[in-house]
Amino acid sequence: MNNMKLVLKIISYIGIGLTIIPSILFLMDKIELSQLKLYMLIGVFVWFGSAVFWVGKGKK
Amino acid sequence: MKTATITKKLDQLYEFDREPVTQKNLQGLGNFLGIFAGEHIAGTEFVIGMLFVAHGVSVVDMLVGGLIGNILAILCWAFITSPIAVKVRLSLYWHLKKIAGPVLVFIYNIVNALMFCFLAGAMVAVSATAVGIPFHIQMPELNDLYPNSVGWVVTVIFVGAVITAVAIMGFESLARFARVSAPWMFLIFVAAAIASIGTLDVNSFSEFWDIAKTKIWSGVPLDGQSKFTMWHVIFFTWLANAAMHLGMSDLSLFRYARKWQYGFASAIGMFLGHYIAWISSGIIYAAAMYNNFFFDAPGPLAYNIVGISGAVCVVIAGWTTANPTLYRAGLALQVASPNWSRWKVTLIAGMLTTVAALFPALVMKLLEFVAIYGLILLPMGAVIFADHYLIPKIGLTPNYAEKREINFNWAAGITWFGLLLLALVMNRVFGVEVFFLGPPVWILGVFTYLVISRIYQKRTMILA
Repeated sequence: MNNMKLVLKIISYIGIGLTIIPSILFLMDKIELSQLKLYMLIGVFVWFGSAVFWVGKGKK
Repeated sequence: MKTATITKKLDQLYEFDREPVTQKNLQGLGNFLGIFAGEHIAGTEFVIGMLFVAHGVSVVDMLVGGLIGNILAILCWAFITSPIAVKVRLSLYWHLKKIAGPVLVFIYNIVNALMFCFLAGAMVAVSATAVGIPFHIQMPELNDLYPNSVGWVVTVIFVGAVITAVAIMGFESLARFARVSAPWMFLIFVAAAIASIGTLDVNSFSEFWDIAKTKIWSGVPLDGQSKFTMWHVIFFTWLANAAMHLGMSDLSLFRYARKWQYGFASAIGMFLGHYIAWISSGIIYAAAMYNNFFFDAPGPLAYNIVGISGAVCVVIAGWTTANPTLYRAGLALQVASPNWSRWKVTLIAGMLTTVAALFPALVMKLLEFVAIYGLILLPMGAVIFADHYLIPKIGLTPNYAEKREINFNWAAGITWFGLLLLALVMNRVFGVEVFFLGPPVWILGVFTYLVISRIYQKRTMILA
């Protein structure tokens, strides 16, 4: 169970990375705006697809 | 309905927190950090940073004024609200009832409910600006006060209906979804701001600073907007949550704190939500204008720079914060109809919220509304402060309504209504802007309550 949670957390952090890193790459002229939008959209699915299983669980 | 009946019903409504919080129910610092981080990254943050730009705030005004204002807000939570909360350990409703009496608390709750509906309305409108994107509806503009298209009206009614329906069905799952969304939403704000800087032809920090001074926070207001100074930024930032700290609404929250120092947990909400997020939304708005993208609505602005994820963020940011606000509105409104079931009251609150959201004035004049919202509730916070610290020191009786078993403490009532009247006169007759009225009203509220209590308590003692 703990291993599963660890995997989910790692996936969520990848989602976080996909949310913030593309904007830095765009600022540095490494990617285009269209790529930034695509990566950030993937980040939405990765974050919500994994974070719902562990963020705020077991806390009131 | 008789006063006694209303009071009884009202007490039943808040029954679950009638007693002071016990030692075993106290919460750790982490919970407070989480609550503040989550609650202060709302849909309205998208608008506030944008409005500062529209009002011609300069870069130094924004950065320094925002810093000072946020520090003042944190100090209010830490040194005024939380020390009283951990002593009395009661919700605002029960503590105010002891001081002011059930009738005055009833009036306070109704006013509070209406304010919550308007606030939720602003959040519904923010969400609607993103929901309307695929349908190419005409978005409200900066100087719009009334609904400007059928598309806008239909979108707002749709969003309001969905949010109300979810609120009726229950808040638990949505509250958890809000917790999941909070860190991601904050990062969308930051990512959108970083990407926006990327569209400004900036290659170094010094170039960014030049652009920030001339293109983002230029110091020149847009057409039809008043000029804001650093004082405006300080006072607005300080008092954006005045109802919560100086107004004492967060007694209900901090009664669970182990120590009064937990008031400093507000720093995370202030600096993430009311500093970085406001700065970010200002950058997003100004960069869009720089690139000839002239929209004043958060949805299209976020969509323009980061695509669908930005629009989704605006919808979620508005939705997740509108729902708890709607819940609080329903709870406060239930005092007027204690026999109604919760779903009916939430439906009424949702309808009020949706009607309010139809008017773009609520979003485009959000700064003014937020200032008025805080101002209306501030005098009662001053009453609570004076009653807790000063009334016993001058030989008067604290919690007077409870001890004398009266329904309406006139000292508190006159303080509240009198100060609001004074604020209205100061604003209308002497032209003092609403942003600056909060602190004098609060300080005068403390003194007014002491003076009138001295006369009132002596008089009621003689009459008794």
